[in-house]
Amino acid sequence: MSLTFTVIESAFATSNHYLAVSLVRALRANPNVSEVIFCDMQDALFATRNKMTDVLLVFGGEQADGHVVLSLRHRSRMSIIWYLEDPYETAVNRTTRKYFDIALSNDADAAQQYGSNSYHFPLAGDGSYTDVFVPFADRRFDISFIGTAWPNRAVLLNEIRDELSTLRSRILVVDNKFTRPHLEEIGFKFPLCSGVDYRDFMRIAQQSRVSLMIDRSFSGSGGVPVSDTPGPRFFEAGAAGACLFVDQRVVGEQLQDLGFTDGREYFGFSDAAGLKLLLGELKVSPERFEDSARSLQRLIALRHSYNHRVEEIVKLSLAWTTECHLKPVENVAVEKDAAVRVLALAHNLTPFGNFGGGELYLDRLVRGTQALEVFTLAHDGRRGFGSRYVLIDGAGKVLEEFLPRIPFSDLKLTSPDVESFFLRCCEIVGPSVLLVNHLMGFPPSLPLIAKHFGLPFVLVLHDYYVICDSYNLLNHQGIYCRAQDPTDDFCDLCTYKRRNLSSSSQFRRRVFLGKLLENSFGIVANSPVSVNLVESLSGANLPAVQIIPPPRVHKYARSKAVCVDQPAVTLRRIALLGNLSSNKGMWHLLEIIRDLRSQPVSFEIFGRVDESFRSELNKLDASNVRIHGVYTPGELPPDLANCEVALFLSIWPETYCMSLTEALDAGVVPIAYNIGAIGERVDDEVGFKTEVDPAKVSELLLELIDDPSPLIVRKAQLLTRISAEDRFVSDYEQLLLAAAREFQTPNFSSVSKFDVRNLGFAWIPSRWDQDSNWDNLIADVSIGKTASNSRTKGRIRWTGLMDRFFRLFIAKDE
Amino acid sequence: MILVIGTSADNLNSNSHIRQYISEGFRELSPDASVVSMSSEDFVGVKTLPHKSLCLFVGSVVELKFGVEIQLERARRLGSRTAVWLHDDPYEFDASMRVLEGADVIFTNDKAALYHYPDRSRVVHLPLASSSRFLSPPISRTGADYLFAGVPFRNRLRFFTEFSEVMSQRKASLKGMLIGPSWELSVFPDAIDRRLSPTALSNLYKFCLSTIYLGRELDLCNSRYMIRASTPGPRLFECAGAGGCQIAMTPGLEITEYLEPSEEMFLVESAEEAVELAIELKKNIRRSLSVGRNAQARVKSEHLYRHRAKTILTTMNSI
Repeated sequence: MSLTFTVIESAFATSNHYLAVSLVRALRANPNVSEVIFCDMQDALFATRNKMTDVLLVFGGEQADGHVVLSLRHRSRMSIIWYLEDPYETAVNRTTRKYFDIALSNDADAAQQYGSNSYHFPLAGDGSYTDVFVPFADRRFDISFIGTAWPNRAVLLNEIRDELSTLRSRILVVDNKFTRPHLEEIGFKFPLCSGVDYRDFMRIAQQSRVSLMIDRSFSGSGGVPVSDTPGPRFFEAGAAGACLFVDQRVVGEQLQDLGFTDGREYFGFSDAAGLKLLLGELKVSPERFEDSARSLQRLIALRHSYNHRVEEIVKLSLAWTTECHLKPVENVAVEKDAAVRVLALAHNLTPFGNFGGGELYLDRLVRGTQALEVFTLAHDGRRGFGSRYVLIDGAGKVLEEFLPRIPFSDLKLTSPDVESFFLRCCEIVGPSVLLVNHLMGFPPSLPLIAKHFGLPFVLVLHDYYVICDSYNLLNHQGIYCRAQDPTDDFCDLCTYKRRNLSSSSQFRRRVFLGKLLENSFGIVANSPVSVNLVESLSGANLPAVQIIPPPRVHKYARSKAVCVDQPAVTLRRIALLGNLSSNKGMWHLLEIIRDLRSQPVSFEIFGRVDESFRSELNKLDASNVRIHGVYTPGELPPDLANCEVALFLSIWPETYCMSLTEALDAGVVPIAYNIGAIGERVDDEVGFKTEVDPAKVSELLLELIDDPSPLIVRKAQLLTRISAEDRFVSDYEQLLLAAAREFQTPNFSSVSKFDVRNLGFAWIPSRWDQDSNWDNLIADVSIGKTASNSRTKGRIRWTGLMDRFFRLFIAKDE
Repeated sequence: MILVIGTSADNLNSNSHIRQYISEGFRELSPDASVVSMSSEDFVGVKTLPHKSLCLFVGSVVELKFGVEIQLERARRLGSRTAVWLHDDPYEFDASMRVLEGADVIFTNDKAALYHYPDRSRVVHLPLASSSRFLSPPISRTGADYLFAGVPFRNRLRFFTEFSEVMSQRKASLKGMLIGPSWELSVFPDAIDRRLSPTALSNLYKFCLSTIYLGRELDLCNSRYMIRASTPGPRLFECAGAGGCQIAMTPGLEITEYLEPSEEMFLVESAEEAVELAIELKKNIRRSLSVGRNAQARVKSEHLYRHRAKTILTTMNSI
């Protein structure tokens, strides 16, 4: 029987990665193993979606109760954990033991503490090195030692310093924050370094007649545990062909149990005097130790390489499977007969305030769908931006509420507390797909976190929030910026003028949100023009984009009846429809009203009107303007159909414009600025387009007053085009169901152990207005005077420092 | 067309000249090829590219200003093949995740880093090299007895502190040149606080009796796997190319794959050994010259940017 394996390192950050690589190589070479998925923590859940393997092998032990590891257990029929840091971490490891069927430990004593189905598994040597043996005569060093300067090692090295000075030696001692104070006390006499890569370690071992092994008897947490089993360096140096001088006070017994004999495969010592004797012999007759080196390398090749450990793991796994411990194979291809659960992120809901945009569309989806069960995680901006979040079900019932202690700021890219609430919502809802209706009010990390868990997300482009915080692309002067590409210099200027943010801020935001676009299962746009803008300004490689026009929320049948009865003859009434504000061209309208004051036309304004407009209008004393007031969505104002034309004066590239649909359905001929989706939707057969300039609109209106014939032609054409088709709900259903079908619904239980820093983007700063990463980087710099400055001053603002840092220190200077 | 594009802004990167050297390497390899070297800022202005172009981004990807992933995407949309030659692995390894998906091939300057990439099928080890500009033969050694040019990373401070102590113990009268910004002048009073141009440095290599080579110990974002660098940096190749006689102290031994110890450079285990060697070379100038010439010959045959350019083109053609 052949087995399939999923392998993952339990901790995201680890200096033992090379061990996992050796192990996986051996697994892949084993004839009883047919497949090995070697997961990276960053995309493990995504990469293993819809997969089921026989064995989950967790390597390491640190953070083994993290969400990713625990979730992967559900995707394998049995699980094994190999603890590598015993006995130093045994107390912690005992708390995670229960999650796994079989435990392996690098330490014999610790293995006893893990209960049944636990085995002692020493680390091993890399079999790819055991074929080469450099003759002693050709070796560069008599002796080498590479390791951390634990106090007992430092004392011993000090004691043999004279002996070492007479030998060709390479002593690489690494210090850390635990050892530093001890080394000063001990008066350690060797230079310190930051260590070497595994392959360099092996090269040095190959070039050393003897490699020195000294126990670590020190614990950073205060206890003094000592492993009874030789560590990986023993096997590695042995595999490379070095003879080993081993401090055998603790590991001697285990060495014998593992088949290594003192005087044959290694030479043991118990104190400095014993070691000095060996060093003396090495000086006088090094050839004496060559046989031992060969014998050790041979034994490792025969019994202690990762191939042998893998053989044991395979045996244990097969035995486990035959003992009928296996969980039944989960049905990976989950049937989706029941309504698929969708979690929607909403920047606003209609009960919180109706602005006639994304909240209205979502409302239509929630009410209109049969195939989906939509839960909404909504941002409630009524208490202020980022101050309240609620999870509500399809019936509008509030299931959870979250009030951040510090309101979320839209300058943040990540936010641990909102992220935690998001995960809690996922745990409650158990969604199969995430619908990002609008990101405003949320950290943009949320969809990436969802993807990490294997939850696909669909992103809706209601405006340009994914490419600029000024979501309608109005610049600091309040006009459409016409930025061309993601690195446009004007974006820096604009962001600085609008929000006083440092240069590159906007770009940093774009880089991050570009990841969102690229990682989405699908993107929904209201119109093609908005997709093009997002694509060019984000620079991202967009996945499949589906154009789904917003739903028709007004009662279509009625509007059609009205418009058919009202053919236009002369231009008398000019409609303004929707939400009249500055970005909808409110100030342009004032100019047009001023221009046409003496003409026999009236301006009929339907919908919400900014107060500032009213006061300016009063100054004009324009008697031909009628403000009808707010109308209920879905109820077109009856007087609309009596108008001959409607003006659409948005100064930003709208992504759709619902009120344009309303006007068209009412048979009112549109006159629009040729910009964004409005410019795209209004063609010359049914309407008029001008450049963004109120004078051009005034001129056109005057022409139509004099000669309405072009208006009549267009209106006739318009009436033939009206269609009742509304595929909004069904198109959304189709897309979201496709996403849900492609992915197995992820498991969100035990998400509390999830650490967002384990995602690949975590090194990107948590805010887009500052490169806060630099502070952390500086803190690690331990060179020259800047290092001491950074310590004494604590947090240094990155501004200016980055430049100095680059010029003086980083400098890519070798 | 081959575009060699810097990944970070030129005013922040004191090694932007390497980009020029790489371009020259491509031209030396194929004199008829159209090769353009440009800064990241200039690439933003490139709106079209000829068919089958190669956009090779070189340098560090830690800086967010440039947004290398976006430029990679731009290059791809212009119909170009894309590659990134990372120059700061493993010190900035965590940041390299930014370009893993976007580039057709990743070249990494460090072999230890290579083994930590999740999908190594598209990652190739490519050490930095020497420019052929420096290849004039060394003639005399009339300069300082030892030279070091670079910034004071922790390992370098330790080395020179010990080096100075040993010199005073031995009462060795060695004339040294320590050049680079930010050396603590109270500790190293003779240090010259400035940055020299590559050409000026290459002349110093030719005329000094010995040049100390020490690696870098400064991680910027290397916290995930804490990888220790194994491949030597560009200075080793540049000095060898200039015919300098190097005394190298590196924790690992990968350096021996590029230059032969005792023949093309000296590998020492301690500052003490370095002092002894410098004293010996002062007595034996011919040895210094012969090691320098050997090193230069090795560089001519293996370690010019021309050789690296060949590897790049071969790799790109094989995918």
